[in-house]
Amino acid sequence: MPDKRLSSHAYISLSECDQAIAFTFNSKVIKARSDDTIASALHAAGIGILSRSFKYHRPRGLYDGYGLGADLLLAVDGTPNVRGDKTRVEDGMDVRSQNAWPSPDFDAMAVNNTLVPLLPNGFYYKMFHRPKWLWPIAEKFIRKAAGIGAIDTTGETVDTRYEKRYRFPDICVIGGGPAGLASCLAACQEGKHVLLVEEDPQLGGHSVHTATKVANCQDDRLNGLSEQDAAGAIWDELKTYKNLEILTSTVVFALYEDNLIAAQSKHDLYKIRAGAVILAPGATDRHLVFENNDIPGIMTGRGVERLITMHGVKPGTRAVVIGNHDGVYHTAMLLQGAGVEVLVVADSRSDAATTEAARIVNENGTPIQPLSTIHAAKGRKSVNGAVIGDIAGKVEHASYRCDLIVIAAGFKPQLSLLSMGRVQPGWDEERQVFRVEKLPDGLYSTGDVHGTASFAQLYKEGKAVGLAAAQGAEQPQSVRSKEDIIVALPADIPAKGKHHFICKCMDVTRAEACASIAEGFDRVETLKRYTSMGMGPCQGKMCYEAVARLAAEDTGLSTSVAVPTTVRPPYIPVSFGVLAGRSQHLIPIRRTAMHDMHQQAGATFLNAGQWKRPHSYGDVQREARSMREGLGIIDVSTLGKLGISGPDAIDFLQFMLPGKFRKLATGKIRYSAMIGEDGILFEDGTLAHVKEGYYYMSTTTGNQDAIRSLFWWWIVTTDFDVKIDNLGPIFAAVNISGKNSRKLLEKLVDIDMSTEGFPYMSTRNATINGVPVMLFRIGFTGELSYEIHFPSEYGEAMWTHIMAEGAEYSIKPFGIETQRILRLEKGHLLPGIDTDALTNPYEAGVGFTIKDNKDDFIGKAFLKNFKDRGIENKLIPYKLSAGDAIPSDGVAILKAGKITGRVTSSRMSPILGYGIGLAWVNVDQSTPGTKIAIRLAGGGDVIGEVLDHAAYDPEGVLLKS
Amino acid sequence: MAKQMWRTYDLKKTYDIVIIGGGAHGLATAYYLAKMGVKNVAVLEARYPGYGGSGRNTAILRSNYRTEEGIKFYDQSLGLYENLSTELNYNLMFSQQGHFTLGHTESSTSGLVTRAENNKALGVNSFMLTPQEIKKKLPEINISSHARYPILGALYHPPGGIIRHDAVVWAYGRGADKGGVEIHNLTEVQDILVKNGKVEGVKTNRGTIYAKKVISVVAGWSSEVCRLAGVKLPFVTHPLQALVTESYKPWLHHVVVSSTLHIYLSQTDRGELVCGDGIDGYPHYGMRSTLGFMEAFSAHVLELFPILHNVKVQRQWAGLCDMTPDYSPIISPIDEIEGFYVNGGWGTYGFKASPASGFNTAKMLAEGKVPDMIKPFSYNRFGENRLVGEKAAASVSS
Ligand SMILES: Cc1cc2nc3c(=O)[nH]c(=O)nc-3n(C[C@H](O)[C@H](O)[C@H](O)COP(=O)(O)OP(=O)(O)OC[C@H]3O[C@@H](n4cnc5c(N)ncnc54)[C@H](O)[C@@H]3O)c2cc1C
Repeated sequence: MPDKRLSSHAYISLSECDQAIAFTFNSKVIKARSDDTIASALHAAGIGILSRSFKYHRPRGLYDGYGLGADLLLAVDGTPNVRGDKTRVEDGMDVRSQNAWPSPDFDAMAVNNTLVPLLPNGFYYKMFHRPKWLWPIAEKFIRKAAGIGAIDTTGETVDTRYEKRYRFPDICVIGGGPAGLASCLAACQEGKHVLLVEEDPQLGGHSVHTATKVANCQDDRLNGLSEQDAAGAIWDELKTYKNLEILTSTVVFALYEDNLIAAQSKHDLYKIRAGAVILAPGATDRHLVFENNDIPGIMTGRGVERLITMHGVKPGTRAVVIGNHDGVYHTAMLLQGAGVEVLVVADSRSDAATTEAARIVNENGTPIQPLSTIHAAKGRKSVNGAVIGDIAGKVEHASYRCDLIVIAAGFKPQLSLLSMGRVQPGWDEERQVFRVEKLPDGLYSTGDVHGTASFAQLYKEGKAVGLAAAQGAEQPQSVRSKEDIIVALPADIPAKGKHHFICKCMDVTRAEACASIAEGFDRVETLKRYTSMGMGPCQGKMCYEAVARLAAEDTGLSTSVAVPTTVRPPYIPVSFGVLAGRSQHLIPIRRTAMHDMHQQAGATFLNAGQWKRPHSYGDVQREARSMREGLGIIDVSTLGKLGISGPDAIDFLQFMLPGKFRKLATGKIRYSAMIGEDGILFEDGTLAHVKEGYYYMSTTTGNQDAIRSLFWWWIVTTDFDVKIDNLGPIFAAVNISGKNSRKLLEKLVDIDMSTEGFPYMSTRNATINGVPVMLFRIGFTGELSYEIHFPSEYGEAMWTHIMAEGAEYSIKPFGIETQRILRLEKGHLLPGIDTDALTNPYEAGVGFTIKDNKDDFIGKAFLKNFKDRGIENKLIPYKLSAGDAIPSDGVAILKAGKITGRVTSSRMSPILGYGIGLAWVNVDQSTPGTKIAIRLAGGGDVIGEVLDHAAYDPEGVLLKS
Repeated sequence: MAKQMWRTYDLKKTYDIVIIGGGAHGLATAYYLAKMGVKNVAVLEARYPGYGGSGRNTAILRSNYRTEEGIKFYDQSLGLYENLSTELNYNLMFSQQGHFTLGHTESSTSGLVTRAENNKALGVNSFMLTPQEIKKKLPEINISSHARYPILGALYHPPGGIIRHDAVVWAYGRGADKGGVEIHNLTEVQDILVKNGKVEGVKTNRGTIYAKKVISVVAGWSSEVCRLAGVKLPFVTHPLQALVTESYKPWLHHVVVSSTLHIYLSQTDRGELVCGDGIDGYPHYGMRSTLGFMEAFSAHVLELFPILHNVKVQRQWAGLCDMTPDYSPIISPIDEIEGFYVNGGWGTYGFKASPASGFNTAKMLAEGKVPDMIKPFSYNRFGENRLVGEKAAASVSS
């Protein structure tokens, strides 16, 4: 294996680092330095092909070393699609190639060069659909071949710990290059709380791989230092500011409205809300399109600079360097210093550069070809040659045998965060880049995103922008001198050949784009969708500029009107784990104050909205019987509870509810339906007038949050002077039910409990064991029953006390399931279970709660429709015969083969010994005594009989006793 | 040289029928009109075909709705979709992989049972599965009782699946063009001309056009376009967000929807997971994405599939949805304005309806009579409060 590690460099000093790390790549052990990325280590080990492309399985190797493209998606320790050039090596890491079989070096799926031009444009839309039966078969094969990384579908548990973190700086600076650092400095000097976020492990941006010396800088102590040292000096100074926090190895992946920044640091999600944001994300190598521009061995200028300066790796042995600006010579010099033979520098400009680097390159004997650029790369799995010619792609100048082609064609601003769905970048003819000139208020930008410039200029601009952000001033105008501007090469060097890849992620060639335009996909948005270019793993970060420029050119427009398509978050792919954070779900679990008591009593729980409620304590049928025969208790703390008061309380209730409540005396309770603006029944509850002008309303568990919001919404949108107390979580509640409930309460309280003294549907205050309670004589079960509401903090004490005092009457707790049976025996509907989004309250049988002869109230207009129309369907109680199967909730009711209704609730009644339920039926089936055919879910029917009343205690004698 | 999908024309002064909106519904309407032999039809599209919901949706197709009206209509649509690739000679990549609607609460499960029964009765293949049966088809799903909302059952619908949505738009466009319809890009309707209770034409950024029949087929922009004619219908536009992950080797071969967790996901033939949840809670015309959506979706999807914790989101976006009170569409002539028609109310679920919507709308325009299939979708149902309630079957955006 060739050793590509450098021991020294002719022009720069390399950092000392021993090969202390070992990891495996496709089971082969690779030695690496601790400052290596996976990509640099593999490159050093002489492994050129690291992955295969998405569509044609073409070989892919190290390209920009920056992780922008999708060339290096690898599986690392079981995690698929990890970017090899963004990930540091770790000892013992298990790295595997993806999407290649049997190996990336030899991939059986590869579509070779000759075939690429033969596949019809947009071939997937034009094949396999005729005859009709072909597609399902073809699809199976396509799915087998599709996809990049493989998800580990075997893992049951996840031990990664994901965390969410929050920051609220005055100013957040994104990007720690020269401009970002300078703006940080300015903002810190103004005393602001500043947060600097940098994607790389180190600060300095592009200056860390630049040997150039700083000159003409306003801060004189930086002049004469190398750019790298100058960045280091600023970093050192920043460390002295207590009002600055620096997050390195943290990548901002999205910027949302109101300066909400989302960033990822390993397994953590940072949510940053900043007063002002300074975007200084810099620029990256321009992606040049030419014949065979996707072969491994073609690298960008900064890509090789990074390999040499940051990882001490020699990128190749014989190189051809292509470029259009002075920086090309810096790259060529670094290559030479690393012992790479630079065969030629093809400079598209006419005049030779006069920089120090250009002088060195020249002295080293490398010929410089003016007015030249690349026409084609040669080679299949790796580069073995390059053809140089004129810019127009017409005349070839020379061919070279080489193993490395370096493209230093200038830089394109990293616009993702700047434009993220909000600002459309435009082509700046003078600076020759796409640029966002003006951002919305509160956002600032600086640095290479406005076009590259010298260190001194970036520093100056950064300082000015930092100051402006700190002072809330306008974004200072960015300026670029003539020398800074890099005249762009044609987006595609139009020399012959059919393998000009615009989008390397999705293998889209210029020829394919042109054919698509001819088919009518002549806008960049539709072109992108049709060809998929820019929609692969890099999401256009690599190719956006080429796509936009070529789309314009090929549709006959000038670059000046070209627009890149909308950039959408996230800037880099972010995992579900990071986004979800530690909680696996965002829905909190709510438990009542008596939860532990239920648990001790052996309850199983069910979810009622956010709440956990006892489903039963073992045997539902026994629970039901024991309540009916003696005494039962159920935790009803989860009911919604609203306290309504204020000068307009009664007017508000008259408006919100369909009934009339002006005459509801203190101490009295009334049942009420709740009707939506559309006249639909959506909730019910009880309203108690607990003391003069103070009403207490209970609602169902599931709807309580919705009802509370609804009440509040109406208060803010109307003029009612009303106060609403949300007492739901403040009061716990139990219901005591059964023949012996009065006897028990007589023991517990010292108020008059007689039927006359405390009649049905009334409320009293009392104390139990020293705790103030509200008593409500209401009931859902059909037995004599009392609801006791009391402060939640006494939950356990109250429960224990009642259970102890009730022991002599054999009090037994019962759960929701039992309550459902009991209420069904009484024929009570449950909103949400027996009703749906269309329930007509008259048909549901709660018309008695509606008093439509009062002033305007919610739903009045639509209720009139319902009333005028008359009853068409009806919610009815029914019973089955003893021994009949119990249908599932939701099954259909049929008449002559047609569906005429449905069962909403269906249970076995232990006390009656047969099945009972509630069902919606057509009105002509609703007369008591009618037989209805209920279709069981497994097939077959059972026959129910419509009842005209509750199955249990129809007259309500027990309830009112 | 490849043939153009659709040609470019100069705007004429008059057309017999003007269709506002070049989404799947507008183009399908145009295609079926052409197929019925109607000539002199123009589609006016403000941006480019597929700019709206038709280019932004998650492409889930199914027909297991809840009401008789809904089931019949969506089933006609699914039937048309099944033959559409062949009919339009374009591979729409309709992947009939089967569709799960998971129930995690008793009330939602009971609603699913009702749908299963209603579907069976109308001949639509849709039935309930137990958690163990679900696990057999989706081995990676978490059916344990430790989940926040354990899975109690699922409604399964074998013919449901996903399609390549852009291809549907293009193929209908090409089909319409072949039949002589003019498709005009970058042509925004800025006013609708009405005189003496009759529609006269439309004013666009490219000039005024006269037509005896004008139909609005603009989904998320329906309120706005109806306003131009002075018509107020109960559309409320909400944003709906979606996201797509990186590409992975296909492992999920069914569409999975959870109504309780409010999420859904499927995996395309390209290996990406396409995901979404419910509408944003506020009316809005901005097609912006939020972090909250991605966080909530992620938290919820990991409930169902904990193995996805290191799967990465690659892109998020949003579209507009024209919600109606009953989650059913409005396809109707407008009584007050002769010659003015509305096709909208497609909310979060309208893509699957494109063929049936286009077919019946075309019939309505061509024959001047509302076909029985879409009679229930008249806007008059709101005045009469006689709704076609599909909220339970359509609220999770798929
Ligand atoms: C994120 C998301 C996911 C979805 N998922 C699904 C799904 O899985 N399954 C499903 O069935 N449905 C889904 N939908 C719904 C579906 O996308 C829409 O219901 C459907 O695409 C509507 O199609 P359309 O042709 O009526 O409207 P659109 O496709 O929205 O087209 C309307 C067109 O009208 C144009 N227009 C607007 N105003 C004017 C004017 N004044 N003049 C001229 N032109 C104008 C617009 O530019 C637009 O192109 C989803 C929607 C979204 C947003």
